[in-house]
Amino acid sequence: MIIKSDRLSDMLAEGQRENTKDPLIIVPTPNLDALRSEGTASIDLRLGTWFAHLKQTQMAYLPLLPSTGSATVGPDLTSTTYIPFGSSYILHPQSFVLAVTLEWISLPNDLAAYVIGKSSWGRAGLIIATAAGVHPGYKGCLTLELTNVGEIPIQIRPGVRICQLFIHKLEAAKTGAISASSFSGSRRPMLRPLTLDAFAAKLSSAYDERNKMHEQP
Amino acid sequence: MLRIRSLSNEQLGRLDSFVPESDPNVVAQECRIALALLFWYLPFIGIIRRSTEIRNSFEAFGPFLRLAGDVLEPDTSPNERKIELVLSSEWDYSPFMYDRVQNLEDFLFIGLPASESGNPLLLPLAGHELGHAVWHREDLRKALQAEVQAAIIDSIGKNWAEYQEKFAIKITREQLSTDIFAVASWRLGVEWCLDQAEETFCDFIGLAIFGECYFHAFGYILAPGLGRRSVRYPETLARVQHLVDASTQLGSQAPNDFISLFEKDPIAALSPADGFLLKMADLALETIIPRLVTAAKTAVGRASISRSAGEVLVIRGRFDLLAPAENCSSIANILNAGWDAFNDPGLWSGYQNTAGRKAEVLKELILKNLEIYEIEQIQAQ
Repeated sequence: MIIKSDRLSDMLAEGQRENTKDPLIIVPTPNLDALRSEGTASIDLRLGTWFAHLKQTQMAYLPLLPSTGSATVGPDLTSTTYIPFGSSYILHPQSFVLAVTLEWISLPNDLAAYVIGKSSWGRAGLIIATAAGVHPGYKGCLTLELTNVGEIPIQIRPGVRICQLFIHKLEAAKTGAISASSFSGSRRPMLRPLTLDAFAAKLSSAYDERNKMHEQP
Repeated sequence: MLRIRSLSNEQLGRLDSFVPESDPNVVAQECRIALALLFWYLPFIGIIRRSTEIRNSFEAFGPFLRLAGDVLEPDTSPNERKIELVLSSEWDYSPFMYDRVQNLEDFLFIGLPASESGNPLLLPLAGHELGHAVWHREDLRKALQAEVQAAIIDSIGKNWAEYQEKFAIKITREQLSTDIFAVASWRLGVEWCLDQAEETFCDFIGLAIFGECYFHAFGYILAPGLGRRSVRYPETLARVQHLVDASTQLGSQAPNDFISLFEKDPIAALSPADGFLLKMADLALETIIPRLVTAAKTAVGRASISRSAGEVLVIRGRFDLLAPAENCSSIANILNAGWDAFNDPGLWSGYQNTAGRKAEVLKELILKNLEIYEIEQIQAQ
């Protein structure tokens, strides 16, 4: 069930009170009065100040998977940029950049969310957030994946409304410890290596021994 | 950078204007001037260059610029202030400050250690560096000169036998301030005492601005001590004792057993005469401490910097929820809450996957909180 903006406004106001346990927090807090009167199904989020793009590299491919040897995607593969308030970032056609929301989000254990682009940007060719799910218990700024699929450069600026957050109520939410996947605690966009679960790891290593035998001189 | 480039271009233009028939002495002189220019500005170019490294706490820049304006230009409205700030990092493991640089007089260069430049918890130390700018602007060295000189002469008088043994100048005590050789013998002690007074004053400024978190940042970077005795700094244990003694007057409270974090400095490798002068400088410093406390309190008082234990608790409550706080009235309150969280071994014990990441996440949270503070200040303008 998607939570409507007037209810979200109440939840955010409640979260501002001291001693509220596990509240919904979005900082900077949106205009609660406007949110209450809008009657929309989402909250607009703004563009933050940090960007990260993949550097040009001589590597044959991006080593995201553990089976590719050096399985860490370190800062040496990305270039991080800070754009202060009042300055702009130009996203060129066919370029891809990681950005963050200006807002720091704290979701309680019984809420999840989806990040969706705003149509006004989408019509200009800016595609936002393809990995859009935000798990319950998430804390931190949301990483946004921005791509300019249009044909002319797009100017974006910290502080502008860039995406919208649809917040859902979880049914039968468990209380207690927060799952490991839901936590970020980060204010900057980061490229993270993927981890193989047991299923994929088994498949990946199925022919390892055989391949090694074939590699013998 | 543009100003340095403009100065360099002027000099380059002069060098370019030479022809083969130009006077070689004039050419050599202009080359010397160009080299001097390079020698003088290169470190500043380096500082400016390093200020753009993403390891820096960029989110701290805006709030710290406001703070510097509040302290150095309290009577000027924020939009009309002239101060320019370069908050950078340095390879040396020591914070530093350059003020009133030739042709860059309106710039304040503050550097924090490169290895900690992304650590907002050390920002209170930039308050110490800001103190140097206050010291220079209020010309406190000149204001304290006579008092320090009198204190040094008084101390020598009380240690007369030792003075005569170390300096072998045939004068009476009454001639200490008039005899040309006697004056030359203790003048260095006055300079050392004034240098120590400046550092002590800057500590008091940092403490008056930031409160208890200044102790934590100071201990983090300085404990157990410098590992050597510098004549230009008070002896470490004495310096820490001055901070603790001044804390109540400056509206703060020292952490329990703070002094026990520090060790006595090794004895300075000085000649017997210089060793005696250092002792006199140390004694003279003690006599002017109350005046330094008052001067720091007055300077920071003009800036009306808010510090509130209640607000620190509110911010800390937000940090417990892994969220930044809003409506903070000063960066001092944010950093005090940050240090309180940093020192709490039970921080975020309810979160499974913060183990090993607490310090990292806390730094992120504090920096985000500084950005939120800056956004609110901009919106309020």
